[in-house]
Amino acid sequence: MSHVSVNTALVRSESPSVQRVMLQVLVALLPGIVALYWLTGPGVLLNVVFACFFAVILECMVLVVRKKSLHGEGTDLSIVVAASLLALSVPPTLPFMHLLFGVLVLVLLGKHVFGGLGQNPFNPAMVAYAALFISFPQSMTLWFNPTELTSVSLLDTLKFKTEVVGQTLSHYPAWDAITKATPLEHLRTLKLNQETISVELANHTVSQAPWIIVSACFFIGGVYLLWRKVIQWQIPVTVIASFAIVSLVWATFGTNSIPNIGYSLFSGALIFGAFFIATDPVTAASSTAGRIVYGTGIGLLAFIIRYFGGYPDGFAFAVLLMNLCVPTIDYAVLKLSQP
Amino acid sequence: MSKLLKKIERVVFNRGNNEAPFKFHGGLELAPNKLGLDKSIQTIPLPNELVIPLLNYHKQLLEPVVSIGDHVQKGQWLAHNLPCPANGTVRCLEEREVMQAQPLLTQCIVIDVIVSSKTAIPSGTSPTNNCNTISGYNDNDNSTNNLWLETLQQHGLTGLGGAAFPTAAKLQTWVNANNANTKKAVNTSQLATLIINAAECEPSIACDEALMQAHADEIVKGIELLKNRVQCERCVIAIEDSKPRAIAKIKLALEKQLTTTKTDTPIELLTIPTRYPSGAESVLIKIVTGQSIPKSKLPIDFGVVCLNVGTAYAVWQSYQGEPLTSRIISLTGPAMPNPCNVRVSFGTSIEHVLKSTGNESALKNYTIRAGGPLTGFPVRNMQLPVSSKTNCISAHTSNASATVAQPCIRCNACVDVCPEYLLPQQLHWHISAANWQQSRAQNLFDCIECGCCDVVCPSNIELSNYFRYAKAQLLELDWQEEQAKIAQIRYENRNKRLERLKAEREKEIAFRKSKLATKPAQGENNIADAIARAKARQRNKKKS
Repeated sequence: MSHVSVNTALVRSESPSVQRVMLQVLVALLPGIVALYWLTGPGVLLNVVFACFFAVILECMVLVVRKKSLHGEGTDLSIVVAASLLALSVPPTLPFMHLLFGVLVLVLLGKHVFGGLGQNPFNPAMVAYAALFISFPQSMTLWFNPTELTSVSLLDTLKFKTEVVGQTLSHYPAWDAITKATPLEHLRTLKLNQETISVELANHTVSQAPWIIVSACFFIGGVYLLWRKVIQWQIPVTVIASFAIVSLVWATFGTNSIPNIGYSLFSGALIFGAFFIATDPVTAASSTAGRIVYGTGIGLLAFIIRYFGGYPDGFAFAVLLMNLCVPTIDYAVLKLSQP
Repeated sequence: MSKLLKKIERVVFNRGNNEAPFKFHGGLELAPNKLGLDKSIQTIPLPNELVIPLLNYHKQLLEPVVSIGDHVQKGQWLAHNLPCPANGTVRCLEEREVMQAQPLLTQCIVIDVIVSSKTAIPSGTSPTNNCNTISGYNDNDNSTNNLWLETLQQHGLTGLGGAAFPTAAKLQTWVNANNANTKKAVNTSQLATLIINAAECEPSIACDEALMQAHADEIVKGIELLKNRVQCERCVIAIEDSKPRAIAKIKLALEKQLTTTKTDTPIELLTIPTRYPSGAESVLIKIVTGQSIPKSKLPIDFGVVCLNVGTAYAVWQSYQGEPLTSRIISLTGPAMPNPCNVRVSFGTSIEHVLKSTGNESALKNYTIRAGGPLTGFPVRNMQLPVSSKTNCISAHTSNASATVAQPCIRCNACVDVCPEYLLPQQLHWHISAANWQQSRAQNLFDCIECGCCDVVCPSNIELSNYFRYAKAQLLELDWQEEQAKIAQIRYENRNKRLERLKAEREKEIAFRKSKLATKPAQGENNIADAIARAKARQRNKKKS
């Protein structure tokens, strides 16, 4: 190695670090977590705490096995962020055993199988989400009906989440009453039954207001990240814009009517995903133009999977598919930018 | 046409003129940290010995023209285009370490300085060197221009910005092009912008600013001279807005200059935003002209010549008959006891510079860097001689940042600050995988090693070190490839030669064989003749 060294300590006013970046992401997640707690009860908090706890333990174990220093990679908080993102993507009712499976996938298959932080081509949280979604479709599409939230206590949630392992919900008729599909799952059911989805139907049968609040809180967090320059504007803006434009065009000219644009934007994981999932720097495109292509791709794929695919919300799959394209996007952008 | 477009651009978008220079991508706003500007520039006393490396810009060894024991005078050549900085005797010729990032031993001339000799010996009159003294400098014809360039060369003029590129070589193309009136043939853009770089190369260095405050008039005269020589369409002196005093001084000098000489292209004073690394040549050209220069080309290819303000001053000094044998150095840094800007003769050791400026304590207690924290390198041997590249000596309390490098999270902070539109994290990825050619394909050689990426990296990766390493690797690979190619050509030539020799031999053999094939017939005749002759002799004998 050359003997010249830039002495960064001498010119930095504040020292940036991975830990600091991750801490800022966690801070940005707080409003969303509070909103989810307020609307859906303590399940979400239990998920976050449980997922983070096991993820950290697992990460430390893996680092020991891989003979890496716990001081370096163990303390950078990146695993806490990934586990939190997974915990916020899954339903608050998800049984702990299922979540544990998700965390295992996240740490092992999502991150360390590729060589740890910075090496993974796919967003670890979304890898875990996809694995969970395919393995446990029923518990993954079950949400508390936000209007019934007052009746859920912490103890009840705990009991439910620990006991439900291996059982279907029909064994717990009492819970059936207070759980309900998300608006998107509801839409999917309508779609599968070949029913015409009119905007009125969608808006009136499923209460949408709580989900707008959640999305708004994540939006605030996202703006905080933009302000702190942890993320750049290109990805969230293009994800949301491409999704909105296609929704608008399809709602106006499409044969199969879909919900109005406001409804489309504030339901599901779009806002949360656009600011927190798609912007994961490790797995996103790196050049400015590349980020625009990447974000647009996610928005379009999310739209297609949500409204034409077999899943209620396709954000995770859209992100994973675009993760796959990132090396090509970066390469193409570089080639095209050269004369 | 392009001129017209440029004009339209300037008028319509209000860009590229005095009010709003072009913006460059990335960079950092670092707090200007200039020290010692309140003091005037002192010339430090000559040391007992001066060490002059016998190396030129292309790292080629020079042949000395003096021998051991010779008395040398200031300005006299020690080797081709290498003027001696002071009067003295040549003590020896030996290998010494020279000031550069990677320790390098090279042939140096060591001179015992004769301090007592106070008599100023005008340069150009020394016995072994006949520097030109030019009278008619204002004529702009071929011979004076060439004479002028020759003088610059003889006076050892190199760029004083840090790279030490020979000034005459830089100007050669333009001066000659103007003289032959073939400017259009030389390049298509036709715009000849002369940029005087008065933006410091690093926030903590102040040698250019100190020079401008002290010698604004001479600098302007130097620029005026350069401008007339190269016949440029535009001449700009670019100063960062963090130097109001220097700007004021230069402005005054420019006004004074305008009153004395009439010109259609006055020197423009361009105030540019203080944003590191605006002092880098390629970045400054971008700021002034909006033109980005790829590393495969030279600024000259785009009709731009960029010279450091210190070089402009040296050009004026050279015009006055003074060779370039000293420069101004910033002594700065948080641990420097007495920060100041001093004039130092080339070949003076760092130790002597620090001792004679009251900075002796920095030698023992702190780490010393040649250059500032961003572009410099740590120095361990205090006997290293100052050269025209040395713009700063800084003292710091700690050497390396204590933090350990963590894995890259591709956060793109480095992409956002890179002034050359590179993707440092991608380069880092390829270099870590020893994927050299891929890193070259991603324009590694465009990297100006400004260190902006190092500063913002949250994982504390020493990116620019990786880039320097990869560049060295690639150059090594290229060299090997070249050698391999030469070897291959040699081998092919040898094969051809052997084949040719073989063919020649075969031809010879065939020729001889054919000769032999015809010989037996002749032989038989001979025998028959011999027999006939013998018989005839016998017959004759019998007869007789």
